[in-house]
Amino acid sequence: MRILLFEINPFSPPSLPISLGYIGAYLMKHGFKVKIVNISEKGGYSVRDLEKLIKEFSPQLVGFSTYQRNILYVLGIAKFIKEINKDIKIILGGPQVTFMPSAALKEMPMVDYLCRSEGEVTLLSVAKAIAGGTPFNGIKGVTYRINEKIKETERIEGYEDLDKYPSPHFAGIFDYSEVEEAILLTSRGCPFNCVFCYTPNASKHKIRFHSIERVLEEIKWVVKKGKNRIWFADPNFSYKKERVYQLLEGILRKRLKVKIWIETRADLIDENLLKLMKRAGVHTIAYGLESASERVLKIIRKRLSLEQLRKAITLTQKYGIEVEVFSQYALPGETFKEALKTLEFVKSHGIKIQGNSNAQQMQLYFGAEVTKDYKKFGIKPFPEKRPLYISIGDRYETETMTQEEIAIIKKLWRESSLDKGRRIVS
Amino acid sequence: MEIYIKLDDEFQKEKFFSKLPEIDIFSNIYFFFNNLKHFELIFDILEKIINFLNTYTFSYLRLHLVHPYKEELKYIYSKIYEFLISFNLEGYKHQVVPRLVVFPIFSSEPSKDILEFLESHFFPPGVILNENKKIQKGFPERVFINFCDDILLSVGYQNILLNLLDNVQFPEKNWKTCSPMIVFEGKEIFPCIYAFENKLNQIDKDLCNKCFYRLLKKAFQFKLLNFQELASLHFRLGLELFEEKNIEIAEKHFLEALKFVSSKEKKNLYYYLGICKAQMSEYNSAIEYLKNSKIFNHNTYFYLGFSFFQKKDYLKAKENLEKALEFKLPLEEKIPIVLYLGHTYKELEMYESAIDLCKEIAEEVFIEQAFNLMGTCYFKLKAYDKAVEYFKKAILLDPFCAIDYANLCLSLKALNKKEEARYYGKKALELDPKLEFVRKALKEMEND
Repeated sequence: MRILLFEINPFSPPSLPISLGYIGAYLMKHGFKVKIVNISEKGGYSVRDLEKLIKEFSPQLVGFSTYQRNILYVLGIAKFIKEINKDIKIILGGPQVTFMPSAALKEMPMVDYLCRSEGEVTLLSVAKAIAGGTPFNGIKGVTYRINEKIKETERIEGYEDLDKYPSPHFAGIFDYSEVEEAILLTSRGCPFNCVFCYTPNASKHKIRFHSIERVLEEIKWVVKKGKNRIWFADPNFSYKKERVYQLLEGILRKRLKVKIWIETRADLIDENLLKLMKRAGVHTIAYGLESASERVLKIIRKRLSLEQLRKAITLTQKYGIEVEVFSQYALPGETFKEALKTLEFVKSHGIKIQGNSNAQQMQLYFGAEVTKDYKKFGIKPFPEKRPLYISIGDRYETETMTQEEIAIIKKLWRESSLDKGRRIVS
Repeated sequence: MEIYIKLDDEFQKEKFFSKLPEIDIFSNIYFFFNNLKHFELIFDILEKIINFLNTYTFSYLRLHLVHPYKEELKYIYSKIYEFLISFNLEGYKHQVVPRLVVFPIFSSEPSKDILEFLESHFFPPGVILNENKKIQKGFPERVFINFCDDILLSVGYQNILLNLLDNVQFPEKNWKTCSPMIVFEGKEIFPCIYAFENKLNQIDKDLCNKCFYRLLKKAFQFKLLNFQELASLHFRLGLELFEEKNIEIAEKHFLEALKFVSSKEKKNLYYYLGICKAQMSEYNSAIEYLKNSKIFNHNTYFYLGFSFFQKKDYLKAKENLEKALEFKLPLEEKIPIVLYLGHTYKELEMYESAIDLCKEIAEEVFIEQAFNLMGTCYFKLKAYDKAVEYFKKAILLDPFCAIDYANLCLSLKALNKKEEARYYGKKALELDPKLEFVRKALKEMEND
């Protein structure tokens, strides 16, 4: 049985579809034939190309990585596929879908399933059911529509030990030719509680790991493929310091010449670790700053002080590592003055306002605490009708900042930006 | 994908519509027209495009309308706005940029009033200026310079430059590529801007290289790029062509880059220029550049040695080639150094040294040129038996090398093995009848 997986990012440069890679490798291990289609702002496909692809590959199941920013395009392609062959089953997964209201399925007639649990195991369950001729029987981890009724199935848990998932890199599922850097994961999930983020709830505040040996083998592999720029997509790369030491020492021991980008928290680094990071090839560390107001940091449950952030930034810069900061405005309880302070903080620390260091308005996505309880957080969504599959996103003002004030902050950030506010990691 | 369309009475709209399913699902389409009456055609096209986007709801198109500024435009753009409302609403609902956006680009200076109107109606305007002047505050962000005779060429080439600048920062990917393009003019379709300018149906790599070089020269002339941008583009293009062994055009890029870089960065360029010049047989320049580069690696020493060798300054050639050989190098990089050093020793009549050097390499790999050189050196040392042995080895590796047969003939003659010498002499002449010294040797043997 053939399965086609789509990654669509019409507004971003091409990058490795790492999540789909994991799912693809897992399905391949279970005997399914899998193909990933990665469509970035560079396009690369015409209507005819897509039609040819669907007809020639003839998949029985098509999966989409779904975000708020691409769902319009995802639904468009799903509809197109159904018009070519209505028997092809369509499943949506990804951050937009895990906590999407089930009723949204009614507004998406071209979609058969919503993936609610871990992608690898859920898609395997669905694929096996389709292959067995009973596409809606005995499946787990999904929401589906049958006879116009919406059904939720039992959750399905993923593996605690991430090494049980085959490596997407070793599976040969990626085309590295169009991407600047290889994306790798050493862990999944986040044990913290930031209210604006979906990951802690999606991972039930748990963090799971790959073994260091596996990660080192993957690095070796991608370097062999000519990619020595590595982007570790872990939300908290240095969550367990002893692991990071092992990994970085391994990179040095194996003489792997790599340039590494990581994202971590300011309270998860120290001077010795930074020294080692620099030696092993870490060129940039992105910290979650969010706000330069202690009060706001408390409201959003960041559990970090400005002093910790300041110290981490200065230390990182001391070792010649570039610092990026993720910051946001229109956060719960944040005033106009406090939002201005964040911009000043970033400027005063010599951080280049470009790429990831461009601030963005907080987005209220499905699954984040702030979305679930938006009233409590002083969020006032605009009175407008949205499709059920779209969350509040940035269509709100707050009790402490008006729509006009938010627009001014946005303009100020854009004016200070070196690249017109283009953020890389969303 | 970028699609450029000359909109005039000759334009074949049906041909364009038939191509819509074949264009990239995310594309920019530029329409160029001088006469505002062609807005009628634009409305026709808009209708078709809207149908297309409504059928294929995963596609987005950016339409850039390039035309002169006239007062009645406000009315026309209000009408266009009506066409776009459903897409603006769809974009708003889904919190993304609408799937259809229209960008007006004026080929003459617009009024402030129209700019404000356009900005308030989601038409981010652009303008084409005739010279690169400082932009006033409140002017559109998107400014093109009319640096070619044709506005289509000016816009198209500036898009190519922007694309190159975007890509140049990424060292690992295939950056020297334009976005896929199509240019429509009357009945003709061209594969890119350069092809359109030169009315070519096809384009190859050499023409692309020519196009990039010329474009950067023009970019300098019209101040489209700053010095740093020019330097980095020339250097990257030069480097890539250098690696492709397209030395002459690589050298041109390096020389251009040299005009814009700081004195600190010049050393790197001197290094590559030195190697280029050596490969172009301009040995004096090569030596000067390589010395000025102050980069002392095996390549610098090799190309210095090589250049001195070609200038017949064998002592300096020896000095540099010996230094090159001191580096720990993989075999394939060692071979040319050994061969040139061997020949240098031969020219300096250091035959034993040449033989020892070649013997060393022969332990790792059999190379015809090394055996030939050893044969020649043994010959010079009057060790004819050995000379015969090595010329025979050379022939085994390259049975079509006339000079090896000729040398073998002379060595056998010296050993008085006339019959064999004749055989190989004839073989040499079969392969290269111009070898007069072989003819002479054969004649001598006939007379004996």
